[in-house]
Amino acid sequence: MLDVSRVQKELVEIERDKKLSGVSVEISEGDLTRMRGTINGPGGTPYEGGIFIVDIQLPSAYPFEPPKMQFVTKVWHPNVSSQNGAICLDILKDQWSPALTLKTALLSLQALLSTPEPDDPQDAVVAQQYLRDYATFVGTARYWTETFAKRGSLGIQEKLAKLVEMGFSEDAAKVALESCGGDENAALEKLCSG
Amino acid sequence: METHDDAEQFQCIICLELVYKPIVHACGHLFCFWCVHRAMDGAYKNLCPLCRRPYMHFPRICEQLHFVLLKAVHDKYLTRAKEVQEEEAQGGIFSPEINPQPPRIRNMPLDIAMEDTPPENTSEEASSIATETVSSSNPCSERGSVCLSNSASSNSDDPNPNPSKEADVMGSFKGKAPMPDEGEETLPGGQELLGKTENLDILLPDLTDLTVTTLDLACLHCGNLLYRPVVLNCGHMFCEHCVVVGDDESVSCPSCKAEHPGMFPQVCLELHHYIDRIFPLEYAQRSLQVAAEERDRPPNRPQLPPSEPQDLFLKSRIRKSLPGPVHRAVGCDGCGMMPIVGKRFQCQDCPEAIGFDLCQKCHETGCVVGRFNQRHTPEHRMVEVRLPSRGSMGRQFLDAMANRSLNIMDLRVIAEDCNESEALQVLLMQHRIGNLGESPQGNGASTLETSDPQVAPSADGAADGVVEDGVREIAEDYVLQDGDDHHEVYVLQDGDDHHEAFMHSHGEDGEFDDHDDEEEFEAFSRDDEDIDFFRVVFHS
Repeated sequence: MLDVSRVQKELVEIERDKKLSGVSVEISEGDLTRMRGTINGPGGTPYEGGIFIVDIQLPSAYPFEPPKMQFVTKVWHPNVSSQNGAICLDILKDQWSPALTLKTALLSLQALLSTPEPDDPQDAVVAQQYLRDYATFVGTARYWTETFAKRGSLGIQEKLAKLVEMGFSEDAAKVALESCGGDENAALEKLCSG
Repeated sequence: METHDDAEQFQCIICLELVYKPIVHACGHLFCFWCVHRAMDGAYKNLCPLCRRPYMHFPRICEQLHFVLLKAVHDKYLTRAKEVQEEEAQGGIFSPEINPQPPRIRNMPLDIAMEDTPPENTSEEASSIATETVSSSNPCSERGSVCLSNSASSNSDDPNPNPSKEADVMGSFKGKAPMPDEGEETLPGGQELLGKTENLDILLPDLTDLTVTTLDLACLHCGNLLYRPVVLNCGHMFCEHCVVVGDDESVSCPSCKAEHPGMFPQVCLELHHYIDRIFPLEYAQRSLQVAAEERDRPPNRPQLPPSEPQDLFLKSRIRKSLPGPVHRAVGCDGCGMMPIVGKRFQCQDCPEAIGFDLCQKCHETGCVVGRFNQRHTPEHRMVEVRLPSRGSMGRQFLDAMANRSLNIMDLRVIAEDCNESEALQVLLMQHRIGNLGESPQGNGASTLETSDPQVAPSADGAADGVVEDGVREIAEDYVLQDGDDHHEVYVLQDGDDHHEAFMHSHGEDGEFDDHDDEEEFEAFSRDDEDIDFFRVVFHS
């Protein structure tokens, strides 16, 4: 039986602190066992500025069993599956403790974004890239953040179209955008300089 | 009344409510009775939810703190009591009743209690006796009626509803039948102690006065205000320096003499800060006093608290090295050991749903006070419970597999109960062989091809999350998939009764990393005579 009272208390606390913590949770369809968490990408990382959505499912034994969490937003990260968003984080598995909460779990995910653990990977391809070619990893991660985790900003296709409109070839524009992590101004600079 | 602060201070980190029927772990962390119970694994690793310190014993409720909370945050505490009682009535399992007397008096001889009582308190309470016995009946009965109706419903299936149930909540102490006291001290000498308590009723605080006094926070040993409070496994609370380590490095309760298993208790910081806050002067005085005492007589406290054999289950997956069979998900009602390791004795006469079980040690001492609300008496019949032998367990589940009457979750449960080789078999079933009943006789290779996608989740990983989880759990537990290492298990079936399992290990070093000594593991598998059904052979 889900401890409803505790979940409600947690939600109140998350709501109270969401500006400071950078994580928030909303219930989907009034069902307390299913939620959507959002995490602000931590500053100083390729995920900066992104808003990442996490699907949260509470097992009936919560908080004595960990919540099930999975990224809905596509993330390029060694510990997150680039295919389905599955997360490899110990506290969501055997290191869970009932003293942890949804908020602390989401904060841990945020911390995971800033400090990947390539030695314990969920996505072997990303982990390999992280270890062997860090620059490309950062570029791809930033590009994915721009493409999938930014609401409000122009979509990558629109940016591409914009650059093509300015007279650059589509291929060159695409390469420039990718190498700059989707930042259109940097891409423009790069195209102009080079 | 600093109700708000106090309620915040004594919040249980698990349910996020005011702690109810508080339990303090040896690491000093405070939780509700039910939260501790629910957080316990029952299989092999109990970890403090806050500090992850492993432990093996379910401590008793700290009654003294219960009474302090009953005063300090009276209304909120009663609300919690009511909520919990409703939950208990729904679940049909009840937490222990708490004797209406706060524990501080009963273990103190009369004269000491009198001496240690600050004069103003004594007079205050003595004077209250005359007036309060009459005037208190009003609020008491009002509160009592609420709780009584509650207890009536919760005890509806109980032939002997206990009159102290209401007192459990109210802390009232008048006219109750003598109850077995909480704690081991009630055993043979219990009557005498109870007799004393009866006489001391007049010294008890009346709960119409909800001021927490220094007397409520007195150490059960020295009688002074608790300084750096620690709580032992028996639930009794002392100053840190009042608990001494015996010559054999064991720790016993100065009050009830019960052994305190595990590490030396750490200070309960919530309580430490609370006392410091409400009695700053007295606490500072105690600090000086204790410092002076310890200068003269250095305390015999272990610098590094001895760790209890908690890693027993974590480290030794090899069951043979355990001191006895493990009764998973069964706890001892005497010392709180959970799961019971060694002999287990079960009461045949306790009607409560939770049952009454003892470990061998507590059975020998004849403990009668349960961890829950059992009304166990020495007359009840205790019977030793033996685990089914390993061979028969293996047979049971093979039969069940053949009949297809088991689903994967059932297999998981069995895997927790069975030994290493049987767990391998479970994995094997899930990974390789769909249905033994249908598998061809004789050759291993052909056996492998009968893999049944319904039971072999690896073939169809995303099909069923539950199945996958079950497999992963066992796989981790028994180190079949360990990072880069990959262990393959094959079963050969020759005839009806003979099975052989083969395990191939591919990995960086081809070893079973988590087993310190592979040789031993192998020897165990081969020599263990209990396994008459399977022979497990490992190739690395």
